[in-house]
Amino acid sequence: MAIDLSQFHQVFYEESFENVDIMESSLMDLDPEDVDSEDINTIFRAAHSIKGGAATFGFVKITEFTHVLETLLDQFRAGDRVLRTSDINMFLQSVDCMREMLGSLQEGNDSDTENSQAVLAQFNLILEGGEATAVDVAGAEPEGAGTQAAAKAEDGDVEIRDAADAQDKVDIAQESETPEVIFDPKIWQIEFKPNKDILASGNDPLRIINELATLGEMECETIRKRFPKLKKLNPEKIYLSWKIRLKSEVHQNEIEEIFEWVIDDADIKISLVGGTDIEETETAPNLHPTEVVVDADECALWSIYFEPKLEVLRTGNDPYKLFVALEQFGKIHSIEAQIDLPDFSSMDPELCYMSWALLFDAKAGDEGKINDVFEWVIDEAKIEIKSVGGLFSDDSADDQVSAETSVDVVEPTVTSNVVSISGAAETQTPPAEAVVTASENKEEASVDATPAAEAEASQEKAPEAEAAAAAPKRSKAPKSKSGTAESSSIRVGIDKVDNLINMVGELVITQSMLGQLGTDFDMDRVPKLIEGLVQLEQNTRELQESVMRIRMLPISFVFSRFPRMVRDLSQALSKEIDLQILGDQTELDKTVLEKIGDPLVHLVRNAVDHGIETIADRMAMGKPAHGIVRLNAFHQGGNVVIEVSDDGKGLDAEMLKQKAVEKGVITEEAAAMLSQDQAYDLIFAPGFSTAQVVSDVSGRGVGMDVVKRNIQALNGVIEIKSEVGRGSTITIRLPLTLAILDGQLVRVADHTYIFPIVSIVESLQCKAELINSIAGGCNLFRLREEYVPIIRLAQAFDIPFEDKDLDGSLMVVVESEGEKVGIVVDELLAQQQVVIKSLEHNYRRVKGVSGATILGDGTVALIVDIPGIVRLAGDNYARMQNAAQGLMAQPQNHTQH
Amino acid sequence: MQIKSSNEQTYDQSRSMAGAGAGGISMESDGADQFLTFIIAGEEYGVDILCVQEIRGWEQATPIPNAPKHIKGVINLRGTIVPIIELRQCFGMESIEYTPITVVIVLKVNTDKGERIMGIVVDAVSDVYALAEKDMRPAPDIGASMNTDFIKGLTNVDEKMVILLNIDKLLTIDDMPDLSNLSKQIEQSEKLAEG
Repeated sequence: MAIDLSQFHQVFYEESFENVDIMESSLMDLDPEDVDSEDINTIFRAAHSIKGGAATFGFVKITEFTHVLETLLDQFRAGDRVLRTSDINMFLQSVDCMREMLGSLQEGNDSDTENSQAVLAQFNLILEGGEATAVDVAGAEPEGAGTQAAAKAEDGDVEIRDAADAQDKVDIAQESETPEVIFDPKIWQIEFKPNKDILASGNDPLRIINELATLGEMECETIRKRFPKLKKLNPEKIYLSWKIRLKSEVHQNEIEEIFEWVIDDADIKISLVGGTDIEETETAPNLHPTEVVVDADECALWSIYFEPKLEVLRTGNDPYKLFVALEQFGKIHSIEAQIDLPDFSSMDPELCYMSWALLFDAKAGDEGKINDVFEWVIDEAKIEIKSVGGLFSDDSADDQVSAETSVDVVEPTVTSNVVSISGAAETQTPPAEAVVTASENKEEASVDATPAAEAEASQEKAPEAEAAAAAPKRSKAPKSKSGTAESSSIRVGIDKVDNLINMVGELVITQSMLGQLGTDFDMDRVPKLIEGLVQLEQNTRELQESVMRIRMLPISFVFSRFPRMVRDLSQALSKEIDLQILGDQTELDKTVLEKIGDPLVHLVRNAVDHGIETIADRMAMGKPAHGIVRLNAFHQGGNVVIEVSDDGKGLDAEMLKQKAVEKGVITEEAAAMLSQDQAYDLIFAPGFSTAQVVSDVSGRGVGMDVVKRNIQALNGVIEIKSEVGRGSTITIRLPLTLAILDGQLVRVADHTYIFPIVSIVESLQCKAELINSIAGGCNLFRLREEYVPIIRLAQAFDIPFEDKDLDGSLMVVVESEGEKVGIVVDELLAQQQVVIKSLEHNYRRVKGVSGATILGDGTVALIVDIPGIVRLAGDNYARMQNAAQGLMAQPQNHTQH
Repeated sequence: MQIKSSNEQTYDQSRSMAGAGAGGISMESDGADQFLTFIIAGEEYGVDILCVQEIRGWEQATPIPNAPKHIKGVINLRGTIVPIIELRQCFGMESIEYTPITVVIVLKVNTDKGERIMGIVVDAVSDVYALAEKDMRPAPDIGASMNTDFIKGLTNVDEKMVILLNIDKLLTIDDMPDLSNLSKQIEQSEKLAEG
C-alpha cells in the first residue's frame, strides 16, 4: 500500500539539517595533526543517515552527493588517505553545499545546485585522482574565493560553464575508470541474485550488468535454478540470477556503487578471487542466503515447533503475540498445543507449561521472516522450523517440462548480453592539455598517466569554477533561507516530557481533592480548602514552568555555528583567532533563540573583522598574536545575558563622535555633550553605519542599528563597554521568555499597572532632603552615590493626579538600558506572574506600554515598558542625565537643595 | 464598576437582533445587505451586520495612557484585549454618563494589518434593516474640509435619515474628523444640491 511519504519530509529535513550540523561541528573538531577516528566516524554516520533518508524519499541528488562524500570519508577512515587541513576545508564546503541542497529541496526546488555539482565534481576527481597534492590546490583555492566572492561574481557565468565542463570531464573520467593496462588483474566474483519483483521497482538487471561490463572484462553466467513451473511463471518477475566474474582493477566500492540502487532488492555477494588479498563482503543483509532454492513467492507449508521454556513469560515475551506476528504474513493452519501441566499444588501461574506445533502456510522465501518473529525467544525456547513443501508440491511432470521450455524463451534476452567487454576507455581521447600536465606528474609513477593527468587538469579548474559558482550562490543564500523555515517543530528531551506528565498527575490529584471538598462542604473544612488552593497554586506554577521549559533550548544551537564562521573568517583575513565559548548550555526560549542568531553573527563578525587587529599590529602593540573572541552566555536574574567580547583595539569614543558629526548623525554641539557610553551608543544609530565611512574609524557599526532593533524587538537590551587598545564587550540581555512575565503590580490613582520585576532595582520612600530640583522641572533623587531622575508615572501617562509633595511618596527604582530611573507610584500591590497579551493586535503600539494582561478579577492591566516610559517622560531626559553627571563630577556642589 | 447582571445580556451575533428588529422595513434579503442601526444623540447610524461580533453591556474599561479622547480604553473580552471607542466623542459630541443600558457593539474591523476586534460605545441599539443597493444614496459632498469615505451611504427609513457607516474606514482613520452635526450638514448639503 502506498504511503504518502511527503508527510515525513519535514522530519527528514530536520534530521538532515541536524546531521549536517553534526558533521560541521565534528569537522571543526578534526585536527589534521592528530586525527581522532571517532570524529571521522561521527561525520561518516551523519553523512550516512542523510544518505539513507534521502534515498528513502527519493532525493537522488542528495543521495549521490552524500554517497561520494561517504566514499571519500571511508578512505580517510580506513587510513587510505591522509587527512589535511585542505581536506577539512573541502568537507566543510560540502557541508555548506549539502545545507544548500536541503534548503532548496525544502522550498520545493531542485536540489541540484551548481554548487553541488562543482563540489561533487571535485570529490570525484579526488577519489580517482587519488593524490593529495592535487587536493591541496582544491582546498586552498576556495578559501580565497570566499573573500573574493564579490569580485568574482561577475565572472560567475563564464566559470560556471567551466564547472559544467569539469563535470563533463569527470563523467567521462568516471567511465574510464579502468586503466587499459592491468598489472595484477583482480578478479571479482559477483553473485547477483535479484529479488523476483525487482523489475517492479524500476531496476533493470541488464543495465546493471552492462554497467559492470564497462569496468573490465566480464564473464557472466546465468543461473536459472529459480524458475517456477510454467503456470506460475509471472512474466513481470525475474527468476534468474547471475554469477559474474569481472577482471578489473577497480575498487570494491565502485562495484558496490553499481549495485547501489538494488542493494535492498537483491542478494549481492562481491568477493575477490584473483589478486593477492581476498576480501569477502556480503552486501545484502536482509536475506539470509538459504539452501532452499525454491521460488520465494511460492506457497509453502512450514512446520514450526515451538516449545518455550517455563520462564518465557518472565522475559516479557508472549507466545500469543508471536502467533499474531506470524499471522501477518501467512496463515496458521493448525495449532496443536501440548499442555504439560504440573500438579496443581506446584503450579506457578507465571510459568508457561505449553508448547505448540504449528502448520503455517506462507511463502517459501519467508523463512527469514519466521526466524525474525521468533528472534526474541530464540534463547528461551526450543524452536524448529521446517519446510514441509509447497501446497502444490504434487504438480504433474509436464509442468516441469513446460517450465524448462520457458527457460529457453527467456534466456536469450539475457545471455545475449553476456559478452566479454573490455573497459570503455578507448572511446575517450585525452585532451591535449592533459598531456602537458602529465609530464609534470611523473613522480606519480602512474602506469597509465592519462586518466590521472586528465583528472589533475580538470582538478585545477574545478575548484576555481566551484568557487565562482559558489560566489553568486552565496549572496543568494540568505534570501532563500527565509520563508518556510520559520514554522518548525521542536525536539524535547524525554525527561522534560516526563516531568510534565508528573505535574499533570499531581494537578489531577489536587483537582479531585478540591472537587471532593466541593461536594460536601461545610465551614469546618475551610482550612482544608485553603490548603488545597495552595497546592493548586503550586501545581499551576510548576506546570507552567515545565511547559515553559519545553520551549527552552540550549544556546549552543546558536553558538555552534560560530567556530566554523570564525575559522573561515580568520583564514580569510589572515588573523589568528581563538574563539572561546562559555555557557553554551544556557537555555533560552526557542523563539528568542531563533531570532538572536543573526544579530550574534553580526557581532561576532564585527569582533573578528574589526575588533581583532592583524597579527602584525598585535605584535606591535605587545599583545599575543592570537586574538581572543569570547562568547559567554549565562543567566542573571530573569534574564539571559550573552556577551561577545574581543581583546582587539576597542572603540575610540572621540573618533566615533567625530565620524558621527561628519556623517550628520548628530550636531557638533550635541557630540560635545555626549558621555563616553553615549558615544559608543552612536554605533547603533541608523545612518551611522555604512561600511566605508566607518571602516577607517574602527569599522564597527555595520548594520548595528539593525542588531539593536532586533534585540529590542525581543525585549532585550544591548550595551557596549570598550577600552581603547584593550578590546570591547557587547552585552545583550534578553528575557527568558516572551510569553510570561514576573510582574510587580502598582497602583497609580485608580489604575493598576505592572512593572516587570526584572527591571526593578529597589523600591523606597522619597525623602525631601535627597531630592534635587533641576531647572526645567525635573527632579533628581540621590540614591547613595548616584543621581537618578524621578519620573511620575501619573504625569507620564497623563492621568489626573494631585500634585502632592514628593516627600514620603513611594518610588520604584528601575534600570533601563543601563540607566537607573525612579518612578513614583501611589502604592505597591502584589507580585505575580502575568501572561502578556498583545495590545497591538487589536489596537496599536502605545508609548510606554509593552503589553497588557488580565488580572485575577478579569480586568485589564497594562504592563509598563520601562525604556519607553523613560523616553516618554520627556525629551529633556538626556539633559537630566547630563545634569546628574555634572553633579557627580563635582561632588563639592552637593549642597542639599 | 460592576454591572447588574440583567444588563449584561450579550446577544449572540445578529440573529437575535434580527428577530427583535422584525419591525424593520423588510426582512427578506434578496440581494440586500442587513444593517444594524444604533442611536447616538438621537441620530440613527447603521453598520453592516456581518461586521458585528456581539453586543454587550458597558463595562469599565482600562484607560490607555496618552490615547486620544475617543478611545475609552481596553477591556478583556474572553482573554482578548479589545479597545473601546466612544462614537459620541468620535463625532465630536458631548460625552454622556454611561448607564447600565449603554451598549457596546463589538465589531470585526478589516484593516491592512488584518482583522481587528474593536468595540464601539453607542447610546442604544435600534433595529436591523435589510437594504438593497438601490435603497441607498451616496454621501453628499459636505465640502472639502471633510473626508466622507467612512460613510457608506444614506437611506431613509420612515422619513428619518439613517447614516450607514463604513466601519473599516471609520475606525482606522488616524485623526477623527469633527462630525458634530453631521446629519445637519448632510441635510443642508442635500438641500443645496436639490435647490
